[in-house]
Amino acid sequence: MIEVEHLRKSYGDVVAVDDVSFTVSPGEIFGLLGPNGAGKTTTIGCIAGLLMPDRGRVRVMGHEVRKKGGQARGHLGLVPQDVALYEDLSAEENLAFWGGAHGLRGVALRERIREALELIGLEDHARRPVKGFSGGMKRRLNFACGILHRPPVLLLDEPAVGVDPQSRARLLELVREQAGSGVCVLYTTHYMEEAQSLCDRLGIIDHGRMIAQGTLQGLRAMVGQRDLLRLSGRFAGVRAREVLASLDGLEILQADETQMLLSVPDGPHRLPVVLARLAAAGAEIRESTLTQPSLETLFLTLTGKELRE
Amino acid sequence: MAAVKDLRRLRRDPVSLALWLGVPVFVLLLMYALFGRGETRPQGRLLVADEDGSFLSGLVVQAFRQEPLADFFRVEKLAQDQARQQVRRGRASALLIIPKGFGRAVLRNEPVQLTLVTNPAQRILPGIVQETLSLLVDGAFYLQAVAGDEIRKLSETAEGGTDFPEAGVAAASIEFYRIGRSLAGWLSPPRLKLETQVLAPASPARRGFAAAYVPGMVFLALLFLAMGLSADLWRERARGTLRRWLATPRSIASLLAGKLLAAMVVSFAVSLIALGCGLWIAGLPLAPLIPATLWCTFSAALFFLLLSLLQLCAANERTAHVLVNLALFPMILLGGSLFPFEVMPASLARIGRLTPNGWALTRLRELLDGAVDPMRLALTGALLALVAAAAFLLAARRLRYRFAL
Repeated sequence: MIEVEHLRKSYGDVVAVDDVSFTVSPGEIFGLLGPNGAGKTTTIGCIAGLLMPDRGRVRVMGHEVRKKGGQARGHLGLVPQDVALYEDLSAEENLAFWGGAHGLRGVALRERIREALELIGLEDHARRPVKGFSGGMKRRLNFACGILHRPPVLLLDEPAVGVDPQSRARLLELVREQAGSGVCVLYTTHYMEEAQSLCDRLGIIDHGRMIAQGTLQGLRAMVGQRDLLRLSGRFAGVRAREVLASLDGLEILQADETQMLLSVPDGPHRLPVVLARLAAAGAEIRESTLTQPSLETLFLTLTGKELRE
Repeated sequence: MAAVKDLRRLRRDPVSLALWLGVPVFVLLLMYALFGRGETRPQGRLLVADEDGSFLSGLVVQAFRQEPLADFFRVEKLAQDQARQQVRRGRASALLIIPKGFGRAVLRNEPVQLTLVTNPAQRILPGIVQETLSLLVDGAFYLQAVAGDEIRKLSETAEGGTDFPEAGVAAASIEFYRIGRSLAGWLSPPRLKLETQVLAPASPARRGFAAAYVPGMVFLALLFLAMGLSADLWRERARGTLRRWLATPRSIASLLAGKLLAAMVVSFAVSLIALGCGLWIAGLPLAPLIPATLWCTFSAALFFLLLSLLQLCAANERTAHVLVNLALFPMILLGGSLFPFEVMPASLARIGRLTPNGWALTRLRELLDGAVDPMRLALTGALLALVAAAAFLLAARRLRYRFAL
């Protein structure tokens, strides 16, 4: 189990994580969703004991990381964002090294290595140097090095970045298997689809602050039935707020001279009115896109910007 | 475990291994080819313009063809003009001009001047010629003092100044015999007693060129090795393996200790091979090979830790590269790793002996020369261990709280 309470970590004047709290239970996949630089990796760093938080408390399987770091780390498996492997060693040697670092020895280690290689489908490449592997193979091996010692808590820091769709699907399947066996999984990503398809609960993080958390259904409910209307064209000189002010429930998320982003209740019915008002005010609309509620809508609604910005 | 990992990785990098092993062996072989196995001396060319051509001028030339001067000089007779030209072009160490009438003047105890023209680019060999001539002049003076009358009488009987009649030679021989008898009380047994004491040499009086270069070359290889292995910290950082290690229950000090152990294993192998080859090439006894190899290994451990500390202090890999090179090259140049202390100006050699490699090299030479005091060696070893321990602790701390994150 992971318990994070009021976590704060800053680097000089830059606050990387600010008052973040969440818990992850055994068998659960908790996703930390946010753009690059939102504070996901810093949060993982504090949980793994790599970074010393300025404030707050982190417990892993009941062991406070700050006070009982060694015991807490003994329960952890970390799959870092970088492919943290020795490229000049073979897959087997990498597994042996990282397994050994977690205290595995002898027959037990050899048995786990065999199982892990089978699990990630690299049993035929066990003795090949990693430098000859494809990106997907390296990512799978990176994952296997983190789970070899069967940790009850697994920290996955964007483990599927830059991976081909096939390898990504296999990786996500492996994560589900881990959670299925009772492992408590913290998974960070900036891919909306990945978070939606994998995580039982999600925390949305931006500028170091947890802006929302809950189950997928709960988060969707926060957005309500509001649709996202994206307009592009020429809006120079258009006083959008004045023009659209009388439309009930409509919210302007972004507006500049070429683009406009609106949160609209009951979008399909309100669309003609919105377009007509803007056209009457002198706007030249070239394209409009209406999107159903999603995590992206929520993110946009809460932060006023897109996830990949 | 971490050491095994690093040794495996090194095994997969045969080019680096070959360079670490190959460079010192190659340089030593080169030294062997250039300077030979044992003690070798520089040999110069001494030109003699003998304008007298007498028996005595021939004796002077002959003096330089006798052992041990023959080891230092190749004596050639040339006409004065030609010989001066050769010296001017730097093709000879010195030119000795024996003027006409030299033999006659010596026999008659008349003033005469020998001229020595030296090559300004050389110091030692012309100096030897000068000293030898001084001895010859002194010898002539004492000969004149003891048997001046007999020599003058003999020279007066000479026909044409240099050809002596048989009667004159016989009379002179009787006189020389008489003088010898009168001096016998002084010469046999000699009144002056020479007491000879053999002292244990603090350092070998004369060291062959290859022997002088061997320890320095070994340290050169060890310094390059330490530089290469310490730079691996940046590769580990770039891959994220250091950060991953921090998330394991083991301490970062154990990873550093593994790296240190791997560096020591490789250093031991390199030192053993390089020193073994070097001692054999230099013709030195192999008895101190193992203690000397162990000393090299512990010294290399110190170099590795000091260079690792430098690597860890840099803000980025490029700065680290510059920083390490800034430290390493003066160490190599001054610390006797490229040029032996013997060929360096005394002031620079003094500074060089204070560098980590210069200090370790001095101790290695003492070990190889068998001139090491066990107590001093123990103290030196303790000092090395102390500095290494401090460097290790600082490096581990820096690694944990700054570098790996």
